[in-house]
Parts: sequence; structure tokens; C-alpha cells
Amino acid sequence: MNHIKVISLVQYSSSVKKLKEEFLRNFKRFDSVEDFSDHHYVSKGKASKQHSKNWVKKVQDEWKILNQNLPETIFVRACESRMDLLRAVIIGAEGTPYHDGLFFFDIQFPDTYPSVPPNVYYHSGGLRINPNLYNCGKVCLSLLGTWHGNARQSWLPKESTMLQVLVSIQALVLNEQPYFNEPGYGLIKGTWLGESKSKVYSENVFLLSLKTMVYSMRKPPQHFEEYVQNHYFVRSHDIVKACNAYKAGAPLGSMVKGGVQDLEQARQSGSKKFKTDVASFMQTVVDEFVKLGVKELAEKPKPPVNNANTENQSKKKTRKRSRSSR
Amino acid sequence: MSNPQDDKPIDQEQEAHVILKVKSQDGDEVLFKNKKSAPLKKLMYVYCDRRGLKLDAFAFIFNGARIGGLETPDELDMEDGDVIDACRAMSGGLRANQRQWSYMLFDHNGL
Repeated sequence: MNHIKVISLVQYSSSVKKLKEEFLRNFKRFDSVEDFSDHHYVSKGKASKQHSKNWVKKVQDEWKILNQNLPETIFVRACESRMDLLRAVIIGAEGTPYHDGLFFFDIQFPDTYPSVPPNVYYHSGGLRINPNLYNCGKVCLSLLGTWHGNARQSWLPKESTMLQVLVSIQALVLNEQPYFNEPGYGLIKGTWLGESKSKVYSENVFLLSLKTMVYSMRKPPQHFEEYVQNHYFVRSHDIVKACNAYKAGAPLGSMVKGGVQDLEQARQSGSKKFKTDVASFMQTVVDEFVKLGVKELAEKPKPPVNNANTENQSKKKTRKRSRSSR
Repeated sequence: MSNPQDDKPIDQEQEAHVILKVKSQDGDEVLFKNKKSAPLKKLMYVYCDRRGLKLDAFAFIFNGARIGGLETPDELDMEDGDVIDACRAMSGGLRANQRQWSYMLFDHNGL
């Protein structure tokens, strides 16, 4: 009877995970929704507002480009009654302090678009996880006109697209060493001082990324509620394994999918403060995962009988050696 | 267009790396991704660093033979999922008994 229960429990948990993974696989990268009641820019403009034909055509072209070219780690939702609003989520890439995290952006096309860049707001939750993403939600990029750059880096009405904005945020903003995104800090990249400051900054960013995970699990944005739950359900074990590795001293960003540590990424071990901070905050993250329904997270595998035999064998060996030495 | 481009790097990755499992006597298992042509010294060092112990605290055993650190996964014919046993290094004699005792104390502090 116990065996049957154990088997059924294992089958149940694996089947649940398969359902979650299937949902994630079938989740459309681009889709339209009825309304955006919690959108950051919902108060700007109205549903009944009439836009020019060129504007409507341009926005529809943007939708088409997004529908066809979005990478696997970016999902976008558009609104038919409010064509000027978009919502996007970007998954943090492996090898970065943002790995496994979800980062939400609200986008609005102004009336004079594409002559001016779109408005982009980041759901920061009050946390500044990157030099380009302020805690007030501002996205500081020359491409968006919120920071001065040279002519090539600015918004080009005839060439720039929303897809370019999202891909730039994913690859250039949420990167491996975000410390050097601050203007002027790139000069000290490669020096001892720059690398050590970057390491500390990245470790702090990972802690803020964990907090961002908790915030998004507690209050997921509209139209992404089920996606958030399923994403963190499936990734919970990888996240916990990574946190355990960081507690043990693995360097930040060295964990890849499945809890495997990439030795090529192994540089200095994590700082003591980072280990203690991860250990202290990790329980909060685990509690949120348990609320999602994840099981067997914190339990360590019990040592099987074989290990006991191994210990006995080692003791025997010790005795033999001591006799021979005498 | 995109399919063959996707296939090539995946094949290269599969050929270049091997995922190894390091298993300790207390049941702890750690996974490492190592280049097939890279010596295992780094894996051993990173594992000991993760456990907070010196390199000579463990004896790494694969297929019944001890790993010295200069071997590569290709030389030992390792495949994905192979297990390396990390045993506590021990020796005999009076001084060794004292050392063994100090190891136990260290473990206790570690807990």
C-alpha cells in the first residue's frame, strides 16, 4: 500500500509538471487581448480616440513584425480597443544575474509615432536592478530618447521598431555585467577595480532579482497571471539549486539549466555577504514556491544504505593501515 | 533557414562538453559541466571550494581508480551523467588518528 501511494505521488507530481510545461510551450509569444485595466499608460488617451491612417498602419506593421520575429524569451500582448498599448515580458538569460526572472514592460505608442520613440515603463516594484532601469520605472535608453546618444544610437523614425527595443533590452540591458551599463563606467572594464565593483553590483542585482520574482508571484500583471505561476512552478527547482550553489560559494551566473555548474564560468567564489544574503532571503522565495504548489523543494536526499556500507569499508581500511604501520 | 543554424551549435555543444555528477559520502550530489578536453583539476578545485575544504580533503574516484587531476574526460572515456565519488581522504598511524579526529571536529564546526 505504501509503495502504491509513493508511486502515485511521484506520477502525480510529474504529470502536473508536464501540464505546466505544456502550458508554457503553448503560450503565444504575441496575442491580442480585450482590455488593459492595470496598464501604466491606461490614463493616456481613450478607446474612442481616432488615430490617423498612417499611425494605424504603422502600429499594425509593428504587430506583424512582433508576431513573426519575437525570440523565445520575449512575450507581448496587444490590445484591440487600445491599439497604442502593449505589454511585454522578458525572461532573464542564463549566465546573468537576471537568470530565470520575469521582467515586465508596459509600452505606449504616442500620437506622433513613429516620429518620436514609444514610451516604455518597467514594473520595477521600487527596485533598481540595472543602471538603465530606474526604480521609478523609467527606462533610460538613447533608443527611447530618455538618454542622449550619438545619431546612430537614437530613435530613427524610418528604421527603428518595437522589436528592436525589446531585443535591445534583453541583450544589452539585462546582460552579464550590468555595472558597466552606467555611462562612463565602461572605461574601467577589465581593470581590477572595475571587475571587483562589477562583481559586488551583480551579486546585489541577483538579490533584487529574487525580490522581483517574489513581487511578480504575489501580484502578477494582467493577462500574464497564469504564465507567471507556471513559469516559476517549472523553474522553481533550478532557482533553488542555484541559490544553494551560491550559498555554498559558487560564483554568480555559473549555474545553467538543471542545476549544473558550468566550470568555464568558475572565477572567484561569491563574497561572504552574498552567501549570507542569499541564505537569508532564500526562504521567502521558497515559501512563495510552496504557495504555487511546488513540492519537495527544501528536502535533501536521505543518505541510502550504500553510503553506510562505504563508511564501514573506509573504517576497515583505516584499521588495516594502522596495523601495518605498527 | 533557422533549423540548420540551430542544429549546428547544439551538436557542437554536445560534442564539446560533458555533464558529470560528483557524489559525496553523505549523499550530496553536485552536477558540473566540463569540457571533454579540459583537465579535471578545475572540477576538483571548484568542488572543494564549494564544500569549504582544502583539495587534499577529498579523494575523487572514478571507475574504481583515483583521479589525479591531470586527466581529461576524453582520456577517462567519460559520458554525460557519469558519477565521480568524492571520498574523504584518510591514512593510518598515530598521527593519522589525531588528524582524523581534527577532521571530525572540522566537520562538526562546518555543520
